[in-house]
Amino acid sequence: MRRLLAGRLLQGLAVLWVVATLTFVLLHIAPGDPYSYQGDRRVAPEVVAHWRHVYCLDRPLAAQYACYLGSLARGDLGFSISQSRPVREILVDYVPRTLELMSLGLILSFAVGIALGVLEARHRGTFADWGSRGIALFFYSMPDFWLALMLALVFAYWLPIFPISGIENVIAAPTYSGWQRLADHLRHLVLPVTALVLMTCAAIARFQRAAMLDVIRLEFVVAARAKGVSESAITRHHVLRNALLPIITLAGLMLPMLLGGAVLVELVFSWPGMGFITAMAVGSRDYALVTSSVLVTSALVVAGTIAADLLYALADPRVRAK
Amino acid sequence: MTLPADADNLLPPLSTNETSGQVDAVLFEKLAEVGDSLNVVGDAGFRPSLADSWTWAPDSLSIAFHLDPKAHWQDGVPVRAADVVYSYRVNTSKDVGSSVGPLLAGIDSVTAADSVTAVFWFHARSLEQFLNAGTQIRVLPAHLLGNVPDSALKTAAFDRNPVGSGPYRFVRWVSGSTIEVVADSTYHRGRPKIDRIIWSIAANPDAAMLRLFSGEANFTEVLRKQDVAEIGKHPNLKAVHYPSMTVFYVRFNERSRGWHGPHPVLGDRDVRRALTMAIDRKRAVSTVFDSSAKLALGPFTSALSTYDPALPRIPYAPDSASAILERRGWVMGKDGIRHKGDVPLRFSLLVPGTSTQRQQMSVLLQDMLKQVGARLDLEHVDFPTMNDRMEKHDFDAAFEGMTIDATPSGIRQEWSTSAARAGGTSNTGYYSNPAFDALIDSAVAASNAKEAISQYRRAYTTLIADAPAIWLYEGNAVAGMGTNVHPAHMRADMWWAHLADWSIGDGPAAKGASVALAAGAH
Repeated sequence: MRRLLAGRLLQGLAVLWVVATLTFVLLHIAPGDPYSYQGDRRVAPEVVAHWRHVYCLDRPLAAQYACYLGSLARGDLGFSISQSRPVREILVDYVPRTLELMSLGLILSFAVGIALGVLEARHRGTFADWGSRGIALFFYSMPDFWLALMLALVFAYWLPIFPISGIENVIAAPTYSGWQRLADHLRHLVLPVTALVLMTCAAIARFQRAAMLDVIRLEFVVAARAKGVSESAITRHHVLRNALLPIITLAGLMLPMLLGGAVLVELVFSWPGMGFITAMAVGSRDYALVTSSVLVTSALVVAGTIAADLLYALADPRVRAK
Repeated sequence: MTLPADADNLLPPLSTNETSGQVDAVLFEKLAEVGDSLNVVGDAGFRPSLADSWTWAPDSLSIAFHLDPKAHWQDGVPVRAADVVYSYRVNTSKDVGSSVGPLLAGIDSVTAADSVTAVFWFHARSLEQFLNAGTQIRVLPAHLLGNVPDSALKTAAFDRNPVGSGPYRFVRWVSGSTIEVVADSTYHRGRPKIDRIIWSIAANPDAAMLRLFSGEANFTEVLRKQDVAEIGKHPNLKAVHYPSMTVFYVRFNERSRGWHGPHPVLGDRDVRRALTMAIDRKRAVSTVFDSSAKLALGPFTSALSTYDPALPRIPYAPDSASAILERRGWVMGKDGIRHKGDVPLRFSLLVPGTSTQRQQMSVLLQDMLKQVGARLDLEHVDFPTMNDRMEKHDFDAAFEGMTIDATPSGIRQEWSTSAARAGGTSNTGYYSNPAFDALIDSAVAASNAKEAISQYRRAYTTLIADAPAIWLYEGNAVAGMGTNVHPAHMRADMWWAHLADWSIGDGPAAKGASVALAAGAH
């Protein structure tokens, strides 16, 4: 188990280095730098030259890369020029919001996806099976951006049930008590989380259904049924437990997809998280912020994948033995 | 108020984006404010702000500003002349790199004559002395910032939790979400009318508009063409037009790419004039904007004090354009494109891919130029790419939008020969005419406003005749707001200049406001 963990960690570090380098190079070979666009206003050339010098932007690419790796090794993620503060401080503000959105999305996607998969497997071939799969496929096949926009249009604009965007009611929030504030925040989470769940739960449901159908045919299930165990007990205790293993793998694979979805959802619902800030940083060529955001996102995916591998090993003694 | 960008820094010398500028304008004060006429010559029309009066020295080489003795920082400490001295020093410090710094080059020093009198000393007399001394610097609290090294100001805690002397106090800044200020009832010029102002950050213009339409916001500063149509369907909302300082034009690069000699097509003044004659600007602008935008005459807008609607302009005359091109040796080829020897009459135009209006208009320009035998290739790029290529002179023409300030002399920074030689993002097309430079120098050095305006207008005439760009339209500024929002005069250079005088009348408040008011009542 330790060797497995050590191996995965080493692989993860290598992936992060490649991601950091690729992001750095791609960003720097794109035309422009953080001072190439100052909106419609003009900043004196000497001021721009001063700041380019301060942030090493007037040096050759290799020197900038060395500068970047050196800072990274010291744990310094750099200074965001568009936000005018250290990147570390920005990440402290924005990463928890994305994690909140993503973890809620992940938990609910799996809860809904597994429940649908079980339902479809138990009632395979019936109207409930076809109906559930059809509806899930309908949402799954929709473009992420469009689905989020439709949710906003229907449930926040035409039927003003939920807030249209943001993380709180900006006017009333300062006057709320702790519980009111939490309730307000949860209301703001409903539409973005729903969008994430609708985008991903269909895939989980299909995986779960297939895994359930594979297990249902196995001999120990037939034996249990022959012993007179009820269908619901068979599903809960025998089929579902054994059909959950592939879902653990899927959880690791779902992380990048959810993070990608979260970027779009954050933009549509103005949820100030990593996607929101990264999109703005790309538009302003904020090198330090973009590279750090990508690095943190990659680290999250790597950590999720390692966690899924470990969980799989814990759940399956055959993997542990290998 | 909802807008699609978060502030970057609330310390005025370091803030660079418009959101920061709006917040800073209600937190910090200048010594004086430009009047609504936007006159920037001498001190006529300027309004007292932090200074309640000022006195010119007999030789006009210094101005003494007397601070309002009632003015105080929001932590209770009175505003003193030492704060003005400190603010000048910070704005001219190389370690700070304030964008205001170059505008203060004419000031020799600032001293404190006594605790409430700050004196600005100038190198030489100029008509914009008062403007630069009185309105370029937002005064900062020296007692809170004086011990912070200039190089550390960028990361000072003050930047995100500022203390000013303005009509509003800072309350909170939730990154990417909200900036909130509250009326200061002890403000030395009287309490502002609106209790609280909240800047609510949306991720994009669409999200900002949905907030306005759904009642989650009272105000948004820019409506697009489609938004203006939509706002008519909402009885609780209104569209308010206000003057703009943004002008849009196609800039020609008069040098070849990389600036090795003149551009084979656009280096010829007559060709540039012919290309301008080929453009029916009135039709192009009315097609894209439904006649709601105004034609631009030059690199300035009608809101500028030196503007003259009678300035001569290059007319729309495609036949004359063809004749000029013919005379300059550009012969029509079988492919419908003119050639001069081996060189085709062909150039490319950088168009920002995120600007729908500029994209639409560039297609019209392409078609109009084709009629006289010129081929225009469109290159859609993002803003950083466009600016980078312009800075490196790697372009033929660029569809630019520029927000000018109220200072007519600002035209020198953008169109003079010295600006072209300085490099950077100014005068990237290398327009150079010694006659224009001399006229601007004369205007800046003029001894009275009438003479200055006359010289500026002669300079404008020279520039327009040289056709360094095709002047297209002035920015179409329309704000969306609740019918209960009563804005004070929205100035062309800063619509938010009089925010402290805005008021909210009867009518539906933004969602949550009633809850907030009820809670506030307790």
